[in-house]
Amino acid sequence: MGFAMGIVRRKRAPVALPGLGLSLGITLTWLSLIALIPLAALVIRAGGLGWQGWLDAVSGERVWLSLRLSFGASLIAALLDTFAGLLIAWVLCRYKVPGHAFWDVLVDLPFALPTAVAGIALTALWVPDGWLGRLVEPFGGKVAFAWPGVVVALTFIGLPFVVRTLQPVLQSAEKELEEAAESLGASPAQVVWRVVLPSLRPALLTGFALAFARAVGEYGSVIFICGNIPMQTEITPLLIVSRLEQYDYAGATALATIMLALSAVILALLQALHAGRRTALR
Amino acid sequence: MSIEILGISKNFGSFRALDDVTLSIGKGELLALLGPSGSGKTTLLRVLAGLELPDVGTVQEDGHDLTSLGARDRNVGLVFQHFALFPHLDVFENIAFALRVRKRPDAEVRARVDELLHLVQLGGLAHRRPAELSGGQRQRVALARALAARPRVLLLDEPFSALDAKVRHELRGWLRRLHEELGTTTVFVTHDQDEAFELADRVAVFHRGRIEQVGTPDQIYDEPNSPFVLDFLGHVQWLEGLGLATLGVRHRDVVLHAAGDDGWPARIERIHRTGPRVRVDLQLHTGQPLIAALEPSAAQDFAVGQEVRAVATRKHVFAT
Repeated sequence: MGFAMGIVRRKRAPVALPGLGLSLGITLTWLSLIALIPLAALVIRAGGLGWQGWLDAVSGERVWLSLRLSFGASLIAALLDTFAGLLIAWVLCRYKVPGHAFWDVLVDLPFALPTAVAGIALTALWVPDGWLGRLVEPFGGKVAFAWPGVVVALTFIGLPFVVRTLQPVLQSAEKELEEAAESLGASPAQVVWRVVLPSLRPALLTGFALAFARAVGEYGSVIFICGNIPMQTEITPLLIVSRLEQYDYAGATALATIMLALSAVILALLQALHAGRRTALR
Repeated sequence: MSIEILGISKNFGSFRALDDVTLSIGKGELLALLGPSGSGKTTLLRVLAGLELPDVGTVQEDGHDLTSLGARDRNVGLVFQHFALFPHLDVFENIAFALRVRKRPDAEVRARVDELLHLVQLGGLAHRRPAELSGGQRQRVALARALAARPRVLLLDEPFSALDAKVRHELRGWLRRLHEELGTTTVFVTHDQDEAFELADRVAVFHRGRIEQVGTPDQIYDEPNSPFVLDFLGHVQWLEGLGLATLGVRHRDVVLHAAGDDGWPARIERIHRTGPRVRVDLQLHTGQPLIAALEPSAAQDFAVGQEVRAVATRKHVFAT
C-alpha cells in the first residue's frame, strides 16, 4: 500500500477526494484475494508439470477440438447476442411496447436462472422431437447433442450482457442528434448508419466482450444440451472436469492455463480496439 | 422566402402548446420568437422545421403548403441549444454532413466546407472533434453545418443560452453580421429579451401558446399591448387601487424631486448601485412600493429616509 501511495503521490497533484491511497490499497487487496492469487496458484500448479509435461497435457486432437468448439461457439454466440441484443435494447428503449416491464424483466432471466435449468429447458426444446427440434429435423438439422446446441446455450446466457450494456446508452442518446441529421437531409437509414450506430459502437464492443467472456466460461447449461461426445461436442471446461474426475489434476490445470491465456489475449484485444476508438475520437 | 403560418394549434396530451397562431415571416427577415419557457415558441420553431405536425393549421412558403412535409424535405437549417454536433465526426465532416447524405462529389464538398469554415472563422480546426472545442466554437460549427446545403430558412433554438455571457455577446453581433451578409430568412427562439431586441428585425412575444404581440423592438418596448408583455420585458412596478385600470411604471421612467407638488409623495427606503444605474427603493404614502432606476449623477442628491416626490415620466395603463 505504501508503495502504491508512493506512485500516486509522484504522478498526481493533490485531488479533492481524500483516501485515494487507501481505496487503491483495498482494491488491490481484494483483486489479489479473489483473482490474482488463485490465478497465480493455477499457473504455479501447471508449472509443476515441467515444460514437456505441460505441452503433452495441452496437445492432442481432443484438446484442440475442444478449444476450437469452446472459442468458436462463444464467438458465434457473442455475435448473435450483439445483433439480437441491439434489436431488443432498441425496441425496449424507443417504443412503447405493450407489457414493457414484463419484457424488461425477461431480459434478465438468463442472469438469474441456474444454468443447469436453462440447459435442461433448452435441451427439451431442441431434442429431435422437442418443440423446436421438430422443426429443423426434417431438413437434417440437429441442434441438441451437436455443436449448434452449444451455440444456442451460449447465446441464451450471453444475451442480457449486450442488452443491459446498450440500454443506458440508448436511453441517454440525444434525440436532437437524430433530428439534426434528419433536418440535414438524411434518410432514416442514413440516420441509423451515420449517426446512431457510430454512437453505440463502444457499448456494442463492451457488450460483445462481456457476452463472449461469459460464453467461454459457461459450463452448466452446455453440458446438458451438447451430449458431451469427445472430439465432437466437448467444450474445454468439460474436458477439464473429466480430467479432474480421473484425478489428473496437473492435466486439468494445464488446460486451464491455456483457456486463461486465450481469454486474456482476446479480451485485451477488444480492450485495445475500444481504447483505439476512444483515442481516435479525441 | 416568405412564410405564412396560418391558424396553427398543437396539443401535447392536455397541454395546449400552440393555440391558433398566425404569423407571417418576410423574405430575408430576422425574426425572434420571445417568451418564457412553455409558452410555445420552441414548438412553433419545430413546426417550421417539420419536426412537429400541427393538429390544426398550415405552414405555407410562397403559396406552397409545407405542413405535411417532413424535416428531411424542407431544406431548413436547424441549430440547437446544445449544439447537437455528431461526436464521432470531426468539424469538417460535421459541416459536410448535409452534402455527404446528398452524395455530392468530393471536390464540391471540400470547396463548400472550406468556404463555410472560413465564414465561421474556424479554418484551423477542421480536424478537431466537437469535444475538443469551446462552446462558442461548437455553436459556430453547428451554424456552418446548418448552412452547408444552402437552406431557404435558418431556424435557431435558443442558440446562445448554453454559452457564457461574454461569448454570447460576441456571437450575437457575429450572427447579425452573418445575416446581413447572407440574407437568409432567419427565425430564432429566445427567452432573453435583450437578445431578441439586439438581434431581431421583428419580435413575436409568446404567452401560453399564443402570440401576445408582434412588432419591431421599438414598437414592443414603447407600446406593449398587454400587462404580460410589459411585465415580461421586466423592470416594471405595478400600481393598483386606481379603479378600473392597472398601471405599470418602468423603473427607469421614475424621476425623483426633492420638493414640489408633482407626482406621488414617497419615502426613500434603500439606495444601492446595480451596474450602470442606481436603484432606489421607495415607499409611497399609499403604502405601495416603487422602484426608481436613476443615473448615478441624479441619485447623488438623495439619502435613505428622505421624503421625496416620485414622478412617472411614462405610464402604461391597461384596462382590467
